[in-house]
Amino acid sequence: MKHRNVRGKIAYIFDPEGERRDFGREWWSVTFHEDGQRTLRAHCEIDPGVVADRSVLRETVYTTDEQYHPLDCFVRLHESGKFLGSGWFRFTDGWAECEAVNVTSGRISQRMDLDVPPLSFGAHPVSCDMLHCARFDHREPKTIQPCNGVLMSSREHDGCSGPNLCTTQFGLQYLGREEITVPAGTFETDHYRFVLDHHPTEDLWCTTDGFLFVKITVGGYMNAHFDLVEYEEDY
Amino acid sequence: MDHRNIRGKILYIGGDDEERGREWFSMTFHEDGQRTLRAHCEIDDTEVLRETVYTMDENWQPLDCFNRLHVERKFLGTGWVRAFGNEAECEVLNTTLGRVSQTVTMDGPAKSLTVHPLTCDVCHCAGYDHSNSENPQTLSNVLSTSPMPNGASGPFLSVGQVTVMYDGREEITVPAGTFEVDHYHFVLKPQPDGTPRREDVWCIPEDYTFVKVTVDGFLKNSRYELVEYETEF
Repeated sequence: MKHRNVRGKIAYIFDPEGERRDFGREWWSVTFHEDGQRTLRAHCEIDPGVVADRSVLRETVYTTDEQYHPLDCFVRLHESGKFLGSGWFRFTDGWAECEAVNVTSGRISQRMDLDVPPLSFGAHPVSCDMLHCARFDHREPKTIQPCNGVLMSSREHDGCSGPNLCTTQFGLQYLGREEITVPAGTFETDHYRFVLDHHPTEDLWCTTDGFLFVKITVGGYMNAHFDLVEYEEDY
Repeated sequence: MDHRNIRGKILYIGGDDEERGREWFSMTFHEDGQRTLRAHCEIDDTEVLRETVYTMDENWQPLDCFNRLHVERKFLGTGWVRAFGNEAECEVLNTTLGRVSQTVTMDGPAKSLTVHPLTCDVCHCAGYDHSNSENPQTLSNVLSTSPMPNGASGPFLSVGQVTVMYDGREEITVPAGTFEVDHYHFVLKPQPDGTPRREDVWCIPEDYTFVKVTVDGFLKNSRYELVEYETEF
């Protein structure tokens, strides 16, 4: 078999006055399959107090095709130590579906018709945020490009609801190629920015060969950054 | 947060002493008693890549499970299993079955689930009742995502039973270290040609964390050993 595996760990850091406080962590790994599919697994832990007054534990296994369009995704959530929901998403050119169970909604089967093939999916691990950047059209690099009808598993900033299908929109900006240093090392990256109406602006730096997570900064009330602290290939 | 995490890596080694696969796993013991096991498995000779996220309740009985397969370097299937009451359901997309919604009814709650990572095999042993002197003990209503020994089909549910025999407490050494373990084996039907089959399991007591498995009479008489183990990583 000739697939490729990479893995890493991300630290969630809040430091509004230079006093670092870790408020979460994310372990992720990606398999680049021989048939072009790409599977990202992430286990995320968010401590209470920065994004919301609750803790979140999340499992995600998200697979895209070779162009980073969503194929299917599993999301499972614990909120403040208690099970919240578990669900399975599937995406086709004409529609998206979600089969889920949630402590408040019960068992739901959801289907959403799509006018265009699904562009991207926000499952909420910050390692998944990077994959939205694959939708940027580099033939028009000077523009802020609209990403409309992006599918999500939750509209909460910490992703702690559902899981169920919903949509969002944002502007996607490319700020160029940069070399940056994080605790895991020095990486050549592409720098993108999400311009959002109801969420602080988010800057993202990802590897140039597969949209792998290197760093994110989020302004506004969150005032946080997310750093790659471990990175390994073919482990 | 007051949960607990462990992680490890297992090597699959054939009867010829050659590595034939590997499995990375991690487990979260949640505050509410649920246990979530994640496993990524690679089997080289039969070309199987598997993703599993399997959650059990505080009694190690199945709640829900995600399973995704690549076989022979191509996507085969993806599915979500949920056990509830005396029923279980499976929502699946498979390249030959298409999109299927499956429901199975049992005569009682599901006792365990065979999802095929080696780390999940160990969880069957949690169904063994140590307060009962009967040995071996048979678990009924055991779900399986695939009838194939390497799990390379579906995912699609079937219901069967697993017979577990307890062989005592031992201390064993594997590449990840020396562990005090409980030793069990599964009593299996022989191959159609009469060749006996047996699977021995060594796991950490109470946590049912994988330490070692050996198989005889199938799966190339392989042994599976813990080579990395970390707590609170």
